[in-house]
Amino acid sequence: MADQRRLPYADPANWARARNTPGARRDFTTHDYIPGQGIPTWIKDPKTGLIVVNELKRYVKPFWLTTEDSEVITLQPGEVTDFIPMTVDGKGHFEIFDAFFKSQREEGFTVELFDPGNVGRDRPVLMNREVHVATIASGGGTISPTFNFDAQGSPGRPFRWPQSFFMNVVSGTGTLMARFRNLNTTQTNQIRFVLVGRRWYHLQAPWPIANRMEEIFEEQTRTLPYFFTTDQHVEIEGDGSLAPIMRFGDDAYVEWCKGMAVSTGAFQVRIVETSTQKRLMESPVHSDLAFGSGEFPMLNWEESLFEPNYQLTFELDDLSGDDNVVWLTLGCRKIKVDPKELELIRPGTSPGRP
Amino acid sequence: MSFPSFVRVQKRDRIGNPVFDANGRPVEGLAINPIKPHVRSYWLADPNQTLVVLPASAGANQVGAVRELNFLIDSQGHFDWTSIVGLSTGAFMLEFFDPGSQRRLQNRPINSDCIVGSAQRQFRLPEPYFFNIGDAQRQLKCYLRDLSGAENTVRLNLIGRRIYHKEAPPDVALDLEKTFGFGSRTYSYFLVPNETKSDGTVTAVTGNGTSSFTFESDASADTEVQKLMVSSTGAFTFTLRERATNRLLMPNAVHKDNGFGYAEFPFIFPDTYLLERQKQVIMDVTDLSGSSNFIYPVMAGRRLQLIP
Repeated sequence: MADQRRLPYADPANWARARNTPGARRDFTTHDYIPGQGIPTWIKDPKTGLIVVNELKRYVKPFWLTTEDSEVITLQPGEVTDFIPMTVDGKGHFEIFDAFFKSQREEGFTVELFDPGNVGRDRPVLMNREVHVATIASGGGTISPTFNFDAQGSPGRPFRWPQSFFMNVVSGTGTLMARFRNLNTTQTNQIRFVLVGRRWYHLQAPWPIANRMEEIFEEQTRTLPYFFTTDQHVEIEGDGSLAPIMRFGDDAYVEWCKGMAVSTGAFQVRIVETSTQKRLMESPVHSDLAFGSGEFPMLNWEESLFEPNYQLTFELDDLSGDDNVVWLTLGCRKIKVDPKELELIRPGTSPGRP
Repeated sequence: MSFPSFVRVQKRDRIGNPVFDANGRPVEGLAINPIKPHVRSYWLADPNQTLVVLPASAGANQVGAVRELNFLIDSQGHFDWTSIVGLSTGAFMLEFFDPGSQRRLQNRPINSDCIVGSAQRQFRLPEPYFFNIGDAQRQLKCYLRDLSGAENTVRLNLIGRRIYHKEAPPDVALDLEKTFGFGSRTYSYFLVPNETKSDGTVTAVTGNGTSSFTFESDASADTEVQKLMVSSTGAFTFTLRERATNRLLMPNAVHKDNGFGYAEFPFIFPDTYLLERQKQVIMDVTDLSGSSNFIYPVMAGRRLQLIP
């Protein structure tokens, strides 16, 4: 049993081995956990200076979360399913990073996700409306201007959510509910949907490590990933125009990190902030130059932070000449407002320089 | 580096005095960065033309008549340019010129396959290029010529971030101005071989033949090379050699696919390569295709603008 006074840094039983590890004296962190990164395997014990195995690491493992009962779901033409549970067992928390899918039909399917365990705790849903699966997950392959990326290699191009999502198996139920809709209206569609991340086996860990894990979880309570799509279904007539809106809601700040789109034809877009009429592009931009896909999303070099209750208007013009169904998704993270924040930040200077 | 959305700040009491704990340490809290709502992603486009049609050149690997895109940055806020995206019906040559600072961003025109990406895989500039708006609007001119031998429809956009300092509260605006100042810092630069003609065209390497290209950092600035891209009509092998020291960067020839990428997936050096002013790197190539091979290599890096 590890020495609880020193955890989570090192098991003293390993110190002798650590002393005999040649060259392992520098370039190691003393942090057992760095937000947004993998947990370091070897760390420098701040007391002894020795390079030791991170005790935290021993209780954190990769994990794939599938739909319950069967990982394959057969959708009837145009079918909308009931909410299907995706449940993790009670051995430890689950932190979601990536999403993958398979679809038998080219049209794909839509997804809605919510966390029933957190209803009433203000973290219920992950999208404002159903989104096309290829805008929040990798799995369909993609075509870039110079290369055709086959679906076979999709796991090598994971769609990383803008923010990891913590599923608490103690205070929540450890379940996500998923609803799917077959976009092929004439044929059945065999689909698969998988969420990938890491399990925090805190219930199997010694209590100091378990406490440390809980502490890390609590740091994440103000943010969650969120996928915004247009408020209405978008179908542009051939060579026509449409200006759907996307409203961010008044419950949180929204940070837009990634842009994805799936459509049946090319289109051009101009994004305008509805209230300020501020344009994000002076003249319309081709869809391939403004939105990526679930495999290669358009990454905003500067994430845009919108105050609560913001609204964007997407001025869309079809370029294909045919009726064009457009699924737009913005990969965002929601940041809950802290009522004390105004006291923190004002009056005074702005402290946010990079 | 983008602005963080969260910042750690010292707590204040109701009348604005900083709060300390019993040990005299500042009491901190987490707050949303007040600067962040005044910074937005932005697509820069020519306001007068969403696309440009380039007249056909006389044939492939020859250039046609020049057309111009004028990227206008209005006076609402600064623009930090970070990547290039575009779509076209064929290859073309492009050149950037910043009339505000009288600066060319390359020594010769560049092949579009080397520096024009898409939204999925943007071509990231090695260093963001900063346009200080001040009280007037700024421009970036881009000159384009067809290289495909057919009429060429080009859509070109520059992606970056707008900094709307003018609409921010005074303390935030002041902080933004302090941060960005005059933008006097390094800037992106593209190097192509000196053997490239002034219109961007190259002399083909004969089938199974050899040739040498010279990359030179001119007398005005050191160049820190970060990425290698090439467009060619056939495979080739290459070596890179420093002229001054005769030092080779590889002991034997390397296939182009192992050393050069293209706009969407450029080759990135494990550590950046400093090419000092007036120093040269010689690229010796051997064609593997057996046919005439038009090779357009590009080094992308950044230069340090010296402030006297």
